[in-house]
Amino acid sequence: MASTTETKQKKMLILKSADNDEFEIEESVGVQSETIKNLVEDGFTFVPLPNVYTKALIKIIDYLKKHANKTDSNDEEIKTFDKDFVNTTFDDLFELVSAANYLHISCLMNMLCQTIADRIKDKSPEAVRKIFHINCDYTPEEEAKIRKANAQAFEGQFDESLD
Amino acid sequence: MENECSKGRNRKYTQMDYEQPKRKLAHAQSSSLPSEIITEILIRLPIKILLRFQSVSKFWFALISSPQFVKAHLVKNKDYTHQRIMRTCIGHQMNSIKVYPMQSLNYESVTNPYDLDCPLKNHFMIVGSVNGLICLAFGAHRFLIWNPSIRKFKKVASLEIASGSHIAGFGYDELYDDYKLVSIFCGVKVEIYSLKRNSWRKIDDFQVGEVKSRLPTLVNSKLHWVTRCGDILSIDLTDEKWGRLEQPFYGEGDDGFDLGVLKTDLSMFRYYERMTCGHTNQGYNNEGSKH
Repeated sequence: MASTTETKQKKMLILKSADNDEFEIEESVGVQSETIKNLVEDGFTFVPLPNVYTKALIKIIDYLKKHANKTDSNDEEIKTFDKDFVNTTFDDLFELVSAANYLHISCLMNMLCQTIADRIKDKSPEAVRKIFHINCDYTPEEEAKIRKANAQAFEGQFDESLD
Repeated sequence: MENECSKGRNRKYTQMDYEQPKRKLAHAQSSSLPSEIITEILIRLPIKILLRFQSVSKFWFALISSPQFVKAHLVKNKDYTHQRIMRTCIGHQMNSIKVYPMQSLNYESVTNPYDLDCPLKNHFMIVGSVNGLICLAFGAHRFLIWNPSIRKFKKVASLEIASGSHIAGFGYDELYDDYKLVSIFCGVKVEIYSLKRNSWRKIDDFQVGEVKSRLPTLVNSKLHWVTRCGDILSIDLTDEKWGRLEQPFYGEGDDGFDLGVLKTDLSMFRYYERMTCGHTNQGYNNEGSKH
């Protein structure tokens, strides 16, 4: 009985994704996001997130739940969770990093940015363009000039893969 | 254990942030990550990789070259910027600059120094280095400021100076984010060059006299030298004023002393017959530092 009462007393929040799905989470889990925390402080319990789509929101709620229950004993478990969390495609990482940035979850931002940085560091500029969906706006002459100016940065072989 | 997430970022939610969806990610996917996120990612990469990524697009080039990015990159990677030491090889060989990764000096029995491709091939001196920039002196009171990471350098406007005893120092002004070069001529005339201003300026009423130590010590945006009369000369790089500190009195015996930096304090090392004694000048630094 005691546990039921406890559950009832827990403050809950409803998060609404950009594609109109609603998720109920505990307030203590949600406030790890600065954006949500500020809304909660202003008295909101219903939080529309027009910048965060369902797919990313599900993953982020998982992350917040896991990290809300951080203790000394589950350190390894959380590390494993984090490792699995970032083991995904670049497009997924970009969607997650945009959501984490919008929600202002600094530890998630750090982890995602570091993961992306680590994964692109050996890539060629061509691969980076494809990964980030960037159109090259240099003329071939301009590009050659920049490469020549930084010739030492182009020594060696680069990773052309897109994953 | 403290939950890292709870620390959060000190950015407050604003109405505008909240109400204006920046873009539809589900459709656009990653086609246009905002520059603030690109910055957060790139800031974690070493300079050599950033130089390569300048050729990704004009936007990436502009972002990576911007002063804001450079500053943020420096702050983010501050722990790594002091991990190298340098030395010149002067002698029969041509002058060269070698870099020793500090890490390997501390933890490995063999260190593998590597040469930096110095823009000067003839005789030169190292004036100083800070934040990865190296200031070199050559010829008759000529200087250049060199960034070995991007292999670029800038020649400093020449200083009109007569021949005589001449000492120089190089440091960073944290308040105005500027690099400054100090030239002391015969202990009577002090001039400061600012990289931002790109010109020299004379310091008025300099009365400290000749300095004894060649290399100054940089603490809290001030360069410090030991003077011939045993005091400490400080040149404040922020307000471009000079100051004098009397050395602490230790009693009998004066075998001279050297300056150093202990964490963020100016420190003095005195030499006695059998031992070295250290003294930090914390009060002075606190007085001079920003709060």
